[in-house]
Amino acid sequence: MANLKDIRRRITSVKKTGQITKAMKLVAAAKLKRATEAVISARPYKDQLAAVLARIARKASESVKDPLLEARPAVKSILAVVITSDRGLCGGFNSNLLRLGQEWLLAKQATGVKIHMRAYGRKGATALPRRGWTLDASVTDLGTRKKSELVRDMVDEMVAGFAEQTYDEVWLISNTWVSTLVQRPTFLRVLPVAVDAATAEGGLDYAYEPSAPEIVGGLLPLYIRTLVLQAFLETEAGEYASRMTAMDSATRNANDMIGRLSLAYNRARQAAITTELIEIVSGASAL
Amino acid sequence: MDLQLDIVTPERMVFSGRAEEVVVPGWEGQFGALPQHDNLLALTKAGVTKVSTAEGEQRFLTGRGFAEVSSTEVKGKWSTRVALLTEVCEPVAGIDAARAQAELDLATKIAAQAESGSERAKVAEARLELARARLAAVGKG
Repeated sequence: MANLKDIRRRITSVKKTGQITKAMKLVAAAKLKRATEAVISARPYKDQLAAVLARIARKASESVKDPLLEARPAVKSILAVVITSDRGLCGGFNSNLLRLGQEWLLAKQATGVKIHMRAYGRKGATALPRRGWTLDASVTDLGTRKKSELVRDMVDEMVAGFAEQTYDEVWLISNTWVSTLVQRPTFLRVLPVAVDAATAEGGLDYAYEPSAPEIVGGLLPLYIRTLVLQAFLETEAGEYASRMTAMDSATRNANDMIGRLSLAYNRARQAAITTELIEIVSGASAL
Repeated sequence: MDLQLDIVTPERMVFSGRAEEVVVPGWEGQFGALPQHDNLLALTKAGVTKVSTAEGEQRFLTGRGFAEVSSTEVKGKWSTRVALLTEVCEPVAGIDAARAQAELDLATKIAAQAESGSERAKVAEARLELARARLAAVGKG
């Protein structure tokens, strides 16, 4: 049977694919560990900043006014910053985010809001123009850049654009790492900064040095930078987590397929032997 | 008597433990925090933060950020907490003088190029401040 050779070739190729996916899974798992540690160790800073801002806002609500806190009555244009990963082969990580992001942006656009968009990560930078969006800017190869510089440049642009009223709101569209299995697409309004005064605990009266508005003015840029940094860290962790799960199931699928192919191969080999035997026997009896 | 001190940077918790006294480079001058210090929120600038613990004194170079001091009294027992949130925090002992000088030169160059009054100039100024503080920290030993 000519089939035999084909099946053997299939088996070899599936095996090789399986080796690759397995290696990718192991690499992702190793990187995931570091990335999740980074996400978790970055949380205290963000939480403490948010808590302090909320406490100041509650204690000194009338005296604290900052342009970065002020919501504009009519939102005419927004800046959407989409953060995706650079590489694929990580399941539905990017496509989920982009699909939900698309729906969200279309809904915004339907209300007459002009949408400016910046994409971070190659997946978003290539997929969004294909879906008909124009990008103000796109940044790829995130892995080779220093995160602190990326964040600084992005936040500088956000704040400058917001202050010049180019954008009335700035939104961050990215994945939040919940666990290895769950990555949740999130839409976070970065500007104007939302300070949730209701969540503040404690009724402490503080002395401020310098004054409360000045402190808030100093803290807000830090807070925005932290939010953006957090989004980058979560994207990185989420990418590795998704890749690990995706490559794990790919490896399992490859093994299943090898099993099925081996079965088919053995059956075909047996059939070939049987046919040959029959031919020999019938040839001998014909003599 | 001691207080709970947390030094947190965006990357990680650098210090978390008991301390007897903390001296922080505040925006309007250096200040020390002892147990039962008044509640205080202060911006900090780049400089050396000194932490006195039972084991001795530790010195950190810290960047801009803020410090929150809160003291609460429960049944006559005081608990004081100091949280220092800063963008940079490195042990002074780990600073290399030559690299600090190189960073200062670079920061000076960037600051000179930046257009005054712009966002960029503010960023450059913060960087310069940190570089100066770093070099000063090594100079004093």
